[in-house]
Formats: sequence, C-alpha cells, structure tokens
Amino acid sequence: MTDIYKKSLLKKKNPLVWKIAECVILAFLFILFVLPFYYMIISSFKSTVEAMRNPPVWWPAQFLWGNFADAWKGANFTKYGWNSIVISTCVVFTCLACSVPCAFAFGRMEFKLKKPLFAIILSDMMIPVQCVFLPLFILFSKLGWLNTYGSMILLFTYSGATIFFIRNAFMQVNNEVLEAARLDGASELTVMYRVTFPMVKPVVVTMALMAFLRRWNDYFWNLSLTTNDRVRTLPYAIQALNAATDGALPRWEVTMAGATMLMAPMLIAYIFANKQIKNAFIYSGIK
Amino acid sequence: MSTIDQIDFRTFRKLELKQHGRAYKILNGALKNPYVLIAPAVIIALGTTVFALIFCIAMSFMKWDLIWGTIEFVGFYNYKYIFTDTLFLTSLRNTIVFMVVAVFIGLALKVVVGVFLNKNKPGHNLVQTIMFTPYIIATVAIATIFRYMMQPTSGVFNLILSTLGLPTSDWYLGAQTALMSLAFITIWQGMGYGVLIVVSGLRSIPDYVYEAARLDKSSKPNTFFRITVPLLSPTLFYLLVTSSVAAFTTFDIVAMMTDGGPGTSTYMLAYYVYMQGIRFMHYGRAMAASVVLLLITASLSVANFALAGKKVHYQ
Repeated sequence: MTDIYKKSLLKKKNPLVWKIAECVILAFLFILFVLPFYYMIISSFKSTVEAMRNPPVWWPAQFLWGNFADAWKGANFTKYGWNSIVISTCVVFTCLACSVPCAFAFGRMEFKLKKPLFAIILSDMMIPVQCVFLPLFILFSKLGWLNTYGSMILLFTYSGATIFFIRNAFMQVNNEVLEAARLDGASELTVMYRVTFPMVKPVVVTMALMAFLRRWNDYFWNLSLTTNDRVRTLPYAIQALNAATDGALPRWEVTMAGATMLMAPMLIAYIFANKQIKNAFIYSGIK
Repeated sequence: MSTIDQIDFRTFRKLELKQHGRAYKILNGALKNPYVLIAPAVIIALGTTVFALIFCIAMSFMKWDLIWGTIEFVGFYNYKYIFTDTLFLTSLRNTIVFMVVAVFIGLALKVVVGVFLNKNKPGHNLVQTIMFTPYIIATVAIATIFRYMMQPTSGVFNLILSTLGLPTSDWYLGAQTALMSLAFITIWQGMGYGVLIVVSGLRSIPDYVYEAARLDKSSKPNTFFRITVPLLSPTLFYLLVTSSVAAFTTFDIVAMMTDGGPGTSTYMLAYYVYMQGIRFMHYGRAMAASVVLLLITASLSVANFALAGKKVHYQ
C-alpha cells in the first residue's frame, strides 16, 4: 500500500529531467572521490618529467614499475614496514587481551566501585591524545621507554571505546544461557570461552580491525613519542618522502608510489570486505 | 564447519582434563574475580589519561627549568604568557575558523548528500561505498595526494579550474587559502563516514511517520525540516560533537602539508602544543595550552554524554 502510494507520487513529480540531474550528481560525486586515488596510482607509474608536466599527464607513455623499487629504497620500507606490521599486529592481540576480560567484568559482574572504575575506563574518550602526549613523553623519557616497541604498543593496548562496545555486546548476552552452562558444571573459563565469547565474536572482530587500522594509520605518536627512527612506522617514512618533494628536483612519482604502497593493504581489504568494514563503523557510530 | 567444531571440542576436552591442575585452578579463580579482569585496562587508563591529565594541569602552573632541573610554582604565569602570545592567539583563531568551516559546512554537506544517497539502488550504493574509502586511509597518504594535486603550477586542481574558466588558486601554499584547503581535505576525508552515519540514521526512521506526514499533505521541505531533521537529531548531534573534537585536535594534516605555514596561517592548537612541548621544550607553556585545548574538547564531550542519555528528540 505504502509503496504504491510512494511510486505514484514519485512518478508524477519526477520527469526525465530529475533523473538526468540525479545521474549527473552521482557522476560528480563518483569523480570527486575516485579521481584523487586514480591520479595517485597512475602518477606512481610516471617518469619524473611526466610527473612535473603542465598540463598534467593522465596516462603515462610507459609504466615504470621501478618507481616502487625507488620508493621502497628511498623510504626504507623494509625497516618501517616491518615496524608497522609488528606493532600493528601486536596491538591487535594486546588490545583484545586487555579489553575482552575487562569488558566481561563490566558487562556481566557486580562489584564495588564499578561505576567510578568504569568512568576511569571511559576517560580516554573525553580526553584527546593531543592534550596528554606531553606528560607521557616526559614520563616515558624518565622511565627510558622512548623508542621502544613496548611504549608504542602500550598506548594502543587500552582504548575506552573498544571496552565500551564489547561491554555492550556482553550485556546483550542472555543470562539464562550462562546459568544453564554453570548448572551443567562448566567452569568459569569454559563459560567465558565456550559460551559467552562466541556470542560476542562479531563485535570483537570489528574492534580488532579498528585497533589495527588505528595503529597502522597513526602518525601523531610516531612524531611525539620517538626521538629516533628505531620504532617509527610507515606513515613517518611517507612523510620523509614528502619532505623531499620540497627540494629543487621533486620526484613526485616516487612519493606517490610510496603513498600507494602505504594504503594498499587498507584499499585491498576494503575492496574485498567493504560491507563488513562499513558495518563496523556504523556500529561504532550508533550506540 | 565440522573441523572447527572438532577443534573446539578438542580444546574443550583438554580444558576439562586439566581442571584438576594447579595452574588451571588459579586461573579459574582469577577469572571469577572482577578486579583481576579489569586490572590491566584500569592501570593503563590511570597511567595514560588520569595521571597524565593531573600532571598536565599541575605542570601548567609550574616553571620547569631544564638546564638547572628546577621546578618552581609560578601561578598563572604560563596562562598569562600564552594569552599574550600572538602565535597562540593566532592558532586559537585559526582553530576556531577551521572548526566552524570543517564542522558546519561539512555537516550540512553530509546531511544533503546522505539524504540524496539514501536509496537502495546500485549506483547510489556504489558511490556511498567509494566515498567511505578515504576515511580508513591514513591521513598521511591523503595529504600526500592533495599536496601533489594542489600544486599551483602543475596541479590537477588548477587545471580543472582554468578549464572551467575559473580563477586559479595557490591552495595550501597561499596564506589566504591554506586554511580553507586543509578544511576542504578534512571535509573530503570525513564525508563518507558522515554520509554512512546519516544514511543509517535515516533508515532507522520508521516509514509510518512519513506516511502520516503525507496523509496530512505536508510539503516536502516541511517534512524534511519538521520530521527528518528532528528524528535525525541524535545522529547529527553525535556527528557534530565527534567532528568538532576532531577539528579542534587537528594535527596530522598540518604537520604533513604546511607546518603551520605559510607564515602562521595554518598554525593550530594541537600543532602549537606539539611545537612548544617537543621542539622548543617549553613544557609549562605547552601544558597550559593543552589545558585550554582540553577544556574546549572536554566540554564538548560532556555535552555529548549528557545529551546522549536524554534523547535529543521525542518520537
């Protein structure tokens, strides 16, 4: 009934002109968001002369794969990439190991001081890192933790938002199921890993993905919590490539190749799992 | 499917068998104790946010002499200093201008595009999916692309402008246009996320509300402003708060593209704190500035939490 009513309304008010306008707007949005990526990827195959030419070149005469090798060497991808992979992977595991039990306690258990402790847990959602990095910098330098993998991992281990969302998922688990398992003689470990955990798995996977993304894309801590190159990650390397383009002979094609390699993992993951990734962000946006 | 079940079953059996082991008993007892479960997170939270915050506030009233290693209480000296420092005032002004442009124009665009894309057609879905891509890409990579495309002499943006017969611009290299270029990139990058949230908000508005409006012969603009916007208000408010906090703490893109320049035209609060603290080692000033930054963002977050409890609208 509703649909028929809608359709008749739409048909009366929407002549061909509106349809064409709709297509034009769609095409405009499409170009607006695809063009920068297209241009970046295509530019990473250009020669130095083509990359500097005015008007810009949209299709290089020859595809130069060597640019990627140059970027790899120029930005020391072997080292920074290794740092990126090690730190991001460790962050996923430490973040889950820290968040899941904590969320379980807050979601399913009763204890004294629950409210104030939960307020402490959520405190990082209120306090942006740009306000507290300096005390941490001073603290870590006193402790001698600057330029260590541990400090880079530690900062991403705890995230108030992650705990908050996993806790919400735990709270939605039906209590009777757990009681039934306990009555059947299941120990607390079994209850947690065999009964509760599978029920909150989708949320946990989502949060793991977000933890990886946050760490992989991070640039701020790279700058503010390190004093040398030892544990800096890929975004810093791309920044170094970028700085080189301010010189007299900028090699934009190499910088573009570097940036392409930096975002390639995310881009490929997004192409194959865009539904899941989008849903993950919707979930974290709407509580 | 079956293999996973078998593996699960095997680990389950192992756990059952080990039930009488000592390690298992200790672990099992620990898991029943909520304080053990929350300990790691609470300790890190105390260290990285609560301690850091108290330290930050305390230090903003101190003068820390790095050469002699002495710390003395100086009252509001640091605050007086930063509020007479033209660089700080410029960065405060820049941050507010940037925030207003990036957040309000950004939000209006997100709502308009969200309403436009709220149709379950292949074309609309494709555009929405593509639009979201920049949000999960590192800001460093995004800034790199735009640095290249915004080159004044050989950049794509000026080519497009001159082809359309419009005046060209210096983009991020011009003192007048640099801040707006950064705002443009920020809006561009956050667009897909905003649209995603707006569309899912729109889809959660039940059909019968619109049906009732139609039966009452409500006009389209009337329906939009009297029904869609109020029912969407929690979503919009969430977007407003998160994007204004993000705008106030903008750092990556400034450090990547302009280093606060040209001149001081893109110096922003977070960048000021970073430069004063890490580069110039003026800890007191930097912390006073970060307390100012914190007051702004924390009041926004408190408003969000307070209003999220009571819904912004009634349905």
